[in-house]
Amino acid sequence: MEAISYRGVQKNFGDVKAVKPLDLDIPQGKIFGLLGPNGAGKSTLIRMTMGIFLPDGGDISVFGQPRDQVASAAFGYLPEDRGLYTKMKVGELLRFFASLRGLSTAEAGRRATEGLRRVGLEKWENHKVDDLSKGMQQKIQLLVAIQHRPKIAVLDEPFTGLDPVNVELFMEVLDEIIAQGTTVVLSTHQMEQVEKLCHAIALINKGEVVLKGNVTDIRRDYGSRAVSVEFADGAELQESQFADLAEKVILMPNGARFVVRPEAHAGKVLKRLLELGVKVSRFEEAQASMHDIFVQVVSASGAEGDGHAN
Amino acid sequence: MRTNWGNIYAVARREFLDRVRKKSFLASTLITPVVFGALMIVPALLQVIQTGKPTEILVVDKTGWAGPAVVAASAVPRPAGNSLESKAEESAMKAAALKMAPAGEDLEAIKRDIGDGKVDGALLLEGDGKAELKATYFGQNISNPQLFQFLDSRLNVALVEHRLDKLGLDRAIADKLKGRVEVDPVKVEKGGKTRKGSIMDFVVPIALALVIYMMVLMYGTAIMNGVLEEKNSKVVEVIISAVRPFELMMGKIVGIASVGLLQYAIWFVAGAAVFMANPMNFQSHMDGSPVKLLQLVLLVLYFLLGFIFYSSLYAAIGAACTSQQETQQWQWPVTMGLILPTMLVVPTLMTPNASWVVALSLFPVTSPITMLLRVGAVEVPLWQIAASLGLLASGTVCVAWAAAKVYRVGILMTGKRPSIPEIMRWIRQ
Repeated sequence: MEAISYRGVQKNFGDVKAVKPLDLDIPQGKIFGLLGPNGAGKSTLIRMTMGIFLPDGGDISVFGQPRDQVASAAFGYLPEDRGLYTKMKVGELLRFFASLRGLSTAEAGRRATEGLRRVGLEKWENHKVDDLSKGMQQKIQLLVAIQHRPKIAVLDEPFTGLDPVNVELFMEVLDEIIAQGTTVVLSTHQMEQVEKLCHAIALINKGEVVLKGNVTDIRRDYGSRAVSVEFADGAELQESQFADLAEKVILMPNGARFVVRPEAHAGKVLKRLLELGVKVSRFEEAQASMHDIFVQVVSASGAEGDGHAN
Repeated sequence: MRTNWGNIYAVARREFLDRVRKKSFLASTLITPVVFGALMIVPALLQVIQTGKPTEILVVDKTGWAGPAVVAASAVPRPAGNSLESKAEESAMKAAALKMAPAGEDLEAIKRDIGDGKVDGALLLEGDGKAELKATYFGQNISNPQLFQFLDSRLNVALVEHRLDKLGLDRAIADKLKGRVEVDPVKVEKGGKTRKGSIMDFVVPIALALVIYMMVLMYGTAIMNGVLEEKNSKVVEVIISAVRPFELMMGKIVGIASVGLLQYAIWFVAGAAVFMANPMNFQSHMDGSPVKLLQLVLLVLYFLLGFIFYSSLYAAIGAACTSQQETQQWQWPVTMGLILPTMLVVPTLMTPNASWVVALSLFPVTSPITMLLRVGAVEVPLWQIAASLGLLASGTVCVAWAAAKVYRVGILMTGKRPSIPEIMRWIRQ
């Protein structure tokens, strides 16, 4: 069964169509990446998923049930705009949010202690949130989202502002909750993380899904079109010499990169290089990075605002 | 989804503990009675201090008889009464010292002295063909009505004595004629039961109305600022993903109302303990407490309903605005609903059954304060109390409903300030 299914879901703010009628399925028990430039409608989709906004049309179902019939205990949320009650003690804060997600007082206390130990903040239980560093507060925010072991955890940009050590820690924790059966929906601009973590993705632009599917499939599809070449000794080449084969050519002194046109294929590029008398020392059909795919798809569909991948 | 009372409880509990543990709660609990006490005691104290240096008035007598008579009368207290006027007169007597101007002193010279601040005032007594006695007061400060009331009364005592002397009446008879009478207020309650009135009959309704006024204003704005804070610190998004906006709003209102009730309970218990500890107080009020049980019940009911009514409005304002400054312009029309009946306290108590007072006591915006004042002053027909409570309850439900709508949309809005038509649209949605 799908963890979340969107059918014709849409949302308008006045005249702005933030999310156009959209169909999407998020599979259970994996990390699903929600990608897209700023202002693409990701946050609106996430807020509808969390029940903060009601869709103007369409249905959202969670494990086959209508969204509004699912108890809030099933969801965990780390919003992009982070905020905690800064005057509260860390332990109290965690217990408060646990109680809102339906945990009993005793269970909430146990989870708080357990969670703080997991992220290495057990000594801070009785300190005020104010006393914590930014990174520490972000760990607390993550605990707020996952401590009640939700069926679905939506994490909006969870890695922003973290140092590499903590990025590793967050990834480990995500692995653990996946192992416990949680489905994670991850919204991020950091494409390396998408490659490492996500099983499947949906790329949203201008309120529409412009690309969706399995990460390996997507990278293979786009990968067959990316070619990188190294020359044995320098070559005098012009971009125009490949205009009919590649939609993008990057020439470097000792090599080149090509994005092959869909109707052409990599072999023709190699043939052309040999015809031009270039000594090729290495020829590789690269797997496209999610970064390249993101940029390519978004610029093809036309980005809104300042959308770009980091 | 149905309202989840557990969530309201959790939010209320957090809000309550958060505020009660703050040092400012302890401080305001301790300081407020001190300030209130000071407000009541300081004026009295000031009058005592005044006796240290009373207003010195020189009496310039052109009649030959009135001067000494007035000076003598000014030193004799009026037969003790319990009324407000008697009390005021007593303090005015202590605050003024009359003495005869040195013989031959020129009025113009005295006026110069008054202008230079060497003398506080002068009382010129003349008699002409038309009137037996004409009195003029000269002073730098002529804005003390208490002083003139006092001088009036003593001048008339002197005048009556003078007339009695002229009639040649025996002194003993004359003294008997001077005896005064003062109205003794007796309050009649339902069923003809009576109780000796006291100054408390005036003070208690005002105090109860002030309790509601202060409470709603203090804690209502506290709610508004709490909402703003949550909104600006972005914590609201996580909460809203777990609880419905209505639950969050009600939780906040209930939590903060509980803080207020706790504070008043502390004051009430402490006040009652101090009152009971003084055996004199206890005895003098044995003949009937000026606070009726009905008043206390209504105080709680009007407080709770009025508090929810106003707090919902304040919460909606907090949600619709992005900064403290922005809240100001929305706040004043709401605050006016509280200030208006408070400003009308005296006319309300004087004519508690006038049709405009009855109207104000039924209208949900003003009823909490006006009805409490009326109930303190007269026997209000039960149907009016019931109608007032009913209207307030339904008004509260409507306001809370609309506020929740504004709250729901506003709480996630940042940046642009919404216009009134926009807010109306949020309510209709």
